[in-house]
Amino acid sequence: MPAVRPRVLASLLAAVLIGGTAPGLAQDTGTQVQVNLSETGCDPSTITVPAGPIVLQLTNLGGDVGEFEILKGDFVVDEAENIVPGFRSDLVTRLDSGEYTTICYSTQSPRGTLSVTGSAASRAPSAVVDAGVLAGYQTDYETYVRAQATDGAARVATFVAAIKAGDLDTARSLYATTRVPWESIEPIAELFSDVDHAIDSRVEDFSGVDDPAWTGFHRIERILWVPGASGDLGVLADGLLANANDLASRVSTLPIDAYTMAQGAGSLIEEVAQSKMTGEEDRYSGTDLVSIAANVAGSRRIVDIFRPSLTAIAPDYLAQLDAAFGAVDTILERYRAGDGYQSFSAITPTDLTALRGAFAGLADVLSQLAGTLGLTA
Amino acid sequence: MTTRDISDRTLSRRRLLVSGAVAGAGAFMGSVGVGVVGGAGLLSTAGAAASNGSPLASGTPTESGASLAPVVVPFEGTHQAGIERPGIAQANAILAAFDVVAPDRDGLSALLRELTRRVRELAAGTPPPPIDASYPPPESGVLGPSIGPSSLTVTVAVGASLFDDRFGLGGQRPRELAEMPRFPGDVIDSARAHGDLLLQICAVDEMACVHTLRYLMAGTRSGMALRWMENGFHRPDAIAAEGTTTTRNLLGFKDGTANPPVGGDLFSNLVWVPPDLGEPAWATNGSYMAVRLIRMFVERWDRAPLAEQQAIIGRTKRTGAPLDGQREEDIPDYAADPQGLEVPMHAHIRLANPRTAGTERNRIFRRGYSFSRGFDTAGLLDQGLAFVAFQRSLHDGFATVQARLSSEPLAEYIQPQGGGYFFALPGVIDPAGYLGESLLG
Repeated sequence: MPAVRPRVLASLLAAVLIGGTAPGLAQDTGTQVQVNLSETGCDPSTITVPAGPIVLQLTNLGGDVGEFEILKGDFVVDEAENIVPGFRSDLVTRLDSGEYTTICYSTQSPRGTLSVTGSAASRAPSAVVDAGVLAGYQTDYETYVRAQATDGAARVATFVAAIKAGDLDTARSLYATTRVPWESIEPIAELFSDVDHAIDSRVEDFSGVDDPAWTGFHRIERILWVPGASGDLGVLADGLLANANDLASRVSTLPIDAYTMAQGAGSLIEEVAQSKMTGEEDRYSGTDLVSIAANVAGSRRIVDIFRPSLTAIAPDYLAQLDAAFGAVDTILERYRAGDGYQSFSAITPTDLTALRGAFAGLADVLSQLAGTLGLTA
Repeated sequence: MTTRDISDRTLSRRRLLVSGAVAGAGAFMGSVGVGVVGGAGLLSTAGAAASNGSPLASGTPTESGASLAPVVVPFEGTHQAGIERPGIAQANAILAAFDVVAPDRDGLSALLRELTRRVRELAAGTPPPPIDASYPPPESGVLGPSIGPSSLTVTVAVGASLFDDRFGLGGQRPRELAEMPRFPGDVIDSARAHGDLLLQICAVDEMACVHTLRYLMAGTRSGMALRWMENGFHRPDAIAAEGTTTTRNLLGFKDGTANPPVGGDLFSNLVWVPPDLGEPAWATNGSYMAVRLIRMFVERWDRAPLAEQQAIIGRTKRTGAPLDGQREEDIPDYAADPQGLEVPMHAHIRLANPRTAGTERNRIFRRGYSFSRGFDTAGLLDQGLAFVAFQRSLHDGFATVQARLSSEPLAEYIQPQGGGYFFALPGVIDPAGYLGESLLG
């Protein structure tokens, strides 16, 4: 990651701010609609709102746990689940104009309709990929992101447990793999700039190695690997776990649109090209290649989700993408060691130059992804 | 990011008129016209060009390029040259920061006198004296036997560290002059930041800047030692449609469009320290100078969709027009766009200059240069902007603007890595005076 941390990924900013789920944003910036859920469905069952940010204030008046889903055809555009009886849950989303159906309370309850009019603040739909198909991709990616965030929190819990037990050898052995889920969804995690800053900052973001404001993976990494490094390992570990859990919680309700996805695939590789080709990311442990491979995996996952459409509309471009990923893989494979990778310092100068070229080439090809899919900011 | 030279509709029109006269003279003579820049903007005349025209050919005269032809920019003035004089920033610059190593106040005084003497000579284009071959030549000779006019300006500024206990100047420190604080996102390399003295050397070409730096250092090495340096440039095209500015930064966007017009009352009120602002008396007619060496991650930027680039900046890349306008000089109407549907709320231009009555006092005069310094250890191009801004108050000016920019999406593509806060000394009016005389005299 770049040293500029407390920043929000520009390519993703618009989407999420308008989505209203970014931290610090008042959630009352969209059109607000109150909806009661029960065994008999939604009240009101027909909703009409202008396009743009929408806050659905969902109150469960039924006797069981309820849910609310917005469907475009068969695809779930957005949803709120596990609403406890008697409680209210706000679903913050943004919708393009069109007709949607809603699942109200449960899949057995009568469905409702949601009409979105106008297009004032809407993101333009893709010119080349059907909106329903895109909605499906988004759902797939949201599922992936949530799973990664949850897995990441679980791995952090294990890592933190080792630290708290004083088993630092185990902690060192877990460090790199603990970071993998985080690195695979880094552009999404960075949307929550406060959590990102607390979890993944490098020392360059602070006044020095002893700055008490420096927390997260890399400060813990330094303590684990550098004899005499300052910092209270227990406090830092607790903080890391709290932030990882917070991230998983926030990501669970984050809507991710297709443009954000497409740009995210490139952002993961930009991160590598810009700030991980020097061994500075995991400088104390030398485990950079594990982080890098996770970035690549996260990027490839997005491409794979888009793959059906790319196969149909841009097979030549898809071939370029696959070749560019392949070029990166070829070099990374040389440094595989068991389930992980060798130390960054093991990379030969020739391979390092080649790897930089391969990542730059991949970034170039990925920069065409949003345009190829007809997606715009 | 940001910056740049000039750019104001009014100025542009004046420039076009004036440059036309010079261009005519130069073109007819088959060489680049030479004029003289006066105190409040370009006052070049065909007569000056005719009388001083010399084979300095450093470029091909063109219809509008002539406004950038070499002139003599007088050293003397109420304000130092290199800020509002010449009215269009020269094409090249060197920013060189020094640590003063002179042992005491007398040494500092001697340093500034010698610096002034040498700046005066070069600014006037005084030919070097005849060479006695048994001595080293008195200057580098890189400009040939006639150093001639090169629109050279050398602007001397002082840093907060000069006011420590070495020279007994503690009580004379300009009120807001301190070491530049670390702003969010800054990754400051101390080897490229701060300093006791800053020289801003500007000229029509890089050779003249290099010549000047070597000549100034040749006589002052015992008094000051280089701390950091940055070479800057911008494209010397004054060719632009009427009402547009002329320079782009290395993100490819117009920059400096909203600068106050050079030489007007607005400019004076925003830039020069007045006698009644509570500053030390010696500082009157000086100006606070904020310098930021801002790396731009240009590869990544070049891979960002155009729509995203434009949303981040708030302008159309091609024309420079604000996203709610048609022409570069159009004033964005934020009151009519409260939700940022045209110009996003976090667009650079909207944060930097909200265009409200309450933020007028925060406007600054930007006069920066692009830099290209090779590539970094990751193999990425090391390019960016040497941002230079002048203002009468750092607090009202740069610091407030920078605070507003702390959340801008552009931050993902840039990284401030050096620079510092300085105070540009008042100008020298007396032909026998020297820079810093009001401080040390």
